[in-house]
Amino acid sequence: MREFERECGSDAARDALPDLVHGRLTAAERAAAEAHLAVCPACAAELAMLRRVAERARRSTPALDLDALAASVAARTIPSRRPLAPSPFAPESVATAPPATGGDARATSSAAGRARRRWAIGGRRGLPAPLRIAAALVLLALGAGGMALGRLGGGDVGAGGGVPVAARDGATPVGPVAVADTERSAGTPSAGIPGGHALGATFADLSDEELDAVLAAIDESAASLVALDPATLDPVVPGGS
Amino acid sequence: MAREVNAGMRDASTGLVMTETIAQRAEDDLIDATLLARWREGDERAATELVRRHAPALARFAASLGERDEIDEVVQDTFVRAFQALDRFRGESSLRTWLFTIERRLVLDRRRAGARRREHEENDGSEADVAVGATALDALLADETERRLGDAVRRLTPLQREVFTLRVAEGRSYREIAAIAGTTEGAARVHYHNAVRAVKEYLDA
Repeated sequence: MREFERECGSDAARDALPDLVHGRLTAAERAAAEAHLAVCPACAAELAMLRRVAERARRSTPALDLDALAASVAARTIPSRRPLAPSPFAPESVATAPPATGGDARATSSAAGRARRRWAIGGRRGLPAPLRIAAALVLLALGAGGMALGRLGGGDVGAGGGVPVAARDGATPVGPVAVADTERSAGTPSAGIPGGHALGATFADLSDEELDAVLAAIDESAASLVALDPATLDPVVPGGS
Repeated sequence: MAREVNAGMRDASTGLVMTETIAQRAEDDLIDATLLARWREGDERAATELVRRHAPALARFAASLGERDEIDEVVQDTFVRAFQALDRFRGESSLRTWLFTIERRLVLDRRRAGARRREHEENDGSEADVAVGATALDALLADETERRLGDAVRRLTPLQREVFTLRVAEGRSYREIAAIAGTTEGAARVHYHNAVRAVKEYLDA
């Protein structure tokens, strides 16, 4: 007689056989399966065949150097988990890198990524990045000089040079972007961005639209700036005199 | 007597297929979840432990999919893909099932890209042909019985062999197989039973 001539009519019973092989039956299911096997030669033969298949598969597992494999996987994945140092010149794609671990790290990464994305917007159009940076520094210096003059003259500190943009909350167009505004005491009315931000934070906190406005103004000034060699520009300390 | 036992098994088997509450599976899942949590917190040793736990099964599955000479590379790439996409793992399936799914897709991608010489020897490059050539069952055929068993499995259609391997060699449920192979539980069950019938017919011939 052939080994598998007879076949059990219960697909459910046969369905349980691989789970019996792998010990994945509950105690009750296992007891039921064993009771069935005691009276069903077809399932008993099928179970024996399945056990041989599983054993062969286990014994013929391709050889792997697990330590070397783990090291290779770590080398290829762990760098991508590290938080990236904030850089205003990073490509936009960097901002989408997996976040660092931990809530604080994620928040930091997100803020840095937001800042990077905004800088990247400016990098996609208009002047080359070095020229745009030089132009921005010149405009910032003009704005700072205007503020200084405003202070000397007792006028509004924001009445000097600068670039008109909408306020951060977008409610009302206001005066110049207040750069290097950290000297202003709390509570002092400001025509610039409220809160007295440091230079970097001021730009990082601009919305995309605000930053676009700044960049548009820079582009408008491009004609006079492109003739200048950035390397010949005197160092400008934003907010300095 | 047998009828009563069968009826009881049928109910129990239905519950088994539809639930994943087996103690061993639950323990495996718990260990994986713990290691994943440690990995997310920056514990690099957790990644090593995850590799050690799942690499052998991934190697077997890669072999069943027809990989032969680049199994270690496939397994490594599978882990890299998985770790880089860990945010998308919601724990709705076991980690191993998710890894199998990634590995299968990876093998298909490699095959479609024409990365391996064996592709040129295949007649049909369809997805159903993912499991071709040698399998993990090929090696170490010590006697005639085992050789015939290996032949029987090798003669299965690629999809039958894939389902059969996942069910018998890896102990995956129909639901998991359906997720891995991109099919339905019902289709996975049909492929499994057809595979078992084909193996038995070959062995009895």
